[in-house]
Amino acid sequence: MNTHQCTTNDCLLYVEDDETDVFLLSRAMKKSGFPNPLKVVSNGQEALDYLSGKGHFADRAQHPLPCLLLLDLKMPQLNGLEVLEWVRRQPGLEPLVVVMFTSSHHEPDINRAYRLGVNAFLVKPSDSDELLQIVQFLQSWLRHNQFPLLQPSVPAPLES
Amino acid sequence: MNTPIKVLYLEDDPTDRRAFLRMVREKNLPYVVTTAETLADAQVQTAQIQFDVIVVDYHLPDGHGTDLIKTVPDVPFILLTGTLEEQLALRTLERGADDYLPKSPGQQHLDVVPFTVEKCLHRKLLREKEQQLSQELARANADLERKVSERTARLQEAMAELEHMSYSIVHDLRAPLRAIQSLGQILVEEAADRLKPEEKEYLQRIRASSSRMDQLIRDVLNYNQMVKSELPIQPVEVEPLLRSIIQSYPQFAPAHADICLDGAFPTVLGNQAGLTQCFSNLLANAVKFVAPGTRPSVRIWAQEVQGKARIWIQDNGIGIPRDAQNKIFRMFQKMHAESEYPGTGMGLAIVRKAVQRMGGQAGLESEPGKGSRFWLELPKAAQTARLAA
Repeated sequence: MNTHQCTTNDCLLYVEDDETDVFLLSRAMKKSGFPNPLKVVSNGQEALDYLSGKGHFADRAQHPLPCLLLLDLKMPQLNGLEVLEWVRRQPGLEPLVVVMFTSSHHEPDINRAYRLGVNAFLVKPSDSDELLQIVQFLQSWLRHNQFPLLQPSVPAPLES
Repeated sequence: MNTPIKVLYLEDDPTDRRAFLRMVREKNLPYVVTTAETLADAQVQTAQIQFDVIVVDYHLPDGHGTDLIKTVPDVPFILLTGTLEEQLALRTLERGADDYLPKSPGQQHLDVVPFTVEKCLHRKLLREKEQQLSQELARANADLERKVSERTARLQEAMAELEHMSYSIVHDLRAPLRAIQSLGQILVEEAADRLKPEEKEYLQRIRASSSRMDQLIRDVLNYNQMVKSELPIQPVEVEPLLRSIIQSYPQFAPAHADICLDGAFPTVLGNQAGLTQCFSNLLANAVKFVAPGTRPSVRIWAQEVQGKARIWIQDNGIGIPRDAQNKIFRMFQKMHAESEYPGTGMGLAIVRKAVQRMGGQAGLESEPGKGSRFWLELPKAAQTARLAA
């Protein structure tokens, strides 16, 4: 069996450098009764560290692999597209469901993300009701969607 | 001329040679004459001396005078022929001689020699000048071409940088704005019952201002889109486009406004997205700028103007004073306070830019109190012309 359904214990990993956006999403999730835990890292490099279990992220009980990766696009150092590109190159991790969550409507960004294999591209709304709808959509998507089984190879330490 | 003219005279007849030299002496011509008796002799001379002009007799012991032409193609060449040798003379001209003189028994032709020489030299000078000018022109053209392509490259680079910058600015502006809007909304939701009425009013103003700024940013983005995006031109059927726009916005619905499509509409040459933007902006203005309490009433029809399709949108609104009519198509131009008629002042700027990009025009006729008639003019698609015929 190579696919499974996402349970309410599976976490979401949100890569976001803007604290307000993190606050708004957490609040909307709480409001809609979103059961899954939300893990947050604040930049692209930290996302790579988390997903490859580097450093303190090695503790998979504390930092389990997410069933869904929510990616902001514009971030310092590694941006969302670069994180996406990296994920798709990692053996066993490459089928991870990745959703862009950004304020960009920019056509080249959208096209590039899909070419790199993003699963959805959501634009951050400025209206909290609309944000609530997006969160509810994600919730029902998680419930009904079939997810690939991630079998990442034992992470090779990135540092030499 | 100051410098003496170097003349080669190729002639096997000694009498003719003497006559020629005498003529030069008598007329005091500024010639330095070299004579040759045979073709071979002349070839030796031309190899050594850069002559200004060559005068040759046709019939020579070792060939024909014209055989010399190809050895010195750039030197003016005058052929002396016997009488009744017109055909020969013409052939020689074809082969590159500059002129010919028929010899006359009394040597009268020698009188014409100075003029002919003068004429040939003048012609050569003109030829050289022309060549020099055309070379200069070619150089100038190449130079211009290079400058244009250098500047175009610099401009394109600057444009790309500006585009990237404006995209980044707009994107970065929207993130904090989203925070203001969202947090303002949350504050209203969570603290409304604890706030004094005027505090609620302040919050409401914060939210309204941030929404307005968001709309401004979006309109600037739309405008930029019209400036830089590709707008492929295709036949667009106007009537179904208008109907779908009217159906997709609540403010155009019968509950709020009367909008009537009057008569037949052509198929125009334009861009579907660009035209959608134009018509929806014009319609939005038509239903918005009415006097308080007036129900908007809009009539849309098509007219042919000098082979082009003009679409009119007439409203029963407040109208636009004549002196403001030129300004309203500019960016950020607003005629009214935000409290009277809210807006960003970008709608018509977007319309004009889009129409221009599609190769058309936009304009209006209006009088205060009597409503406005806006029009868009675009080329008609060939298809309609066939249908009409």
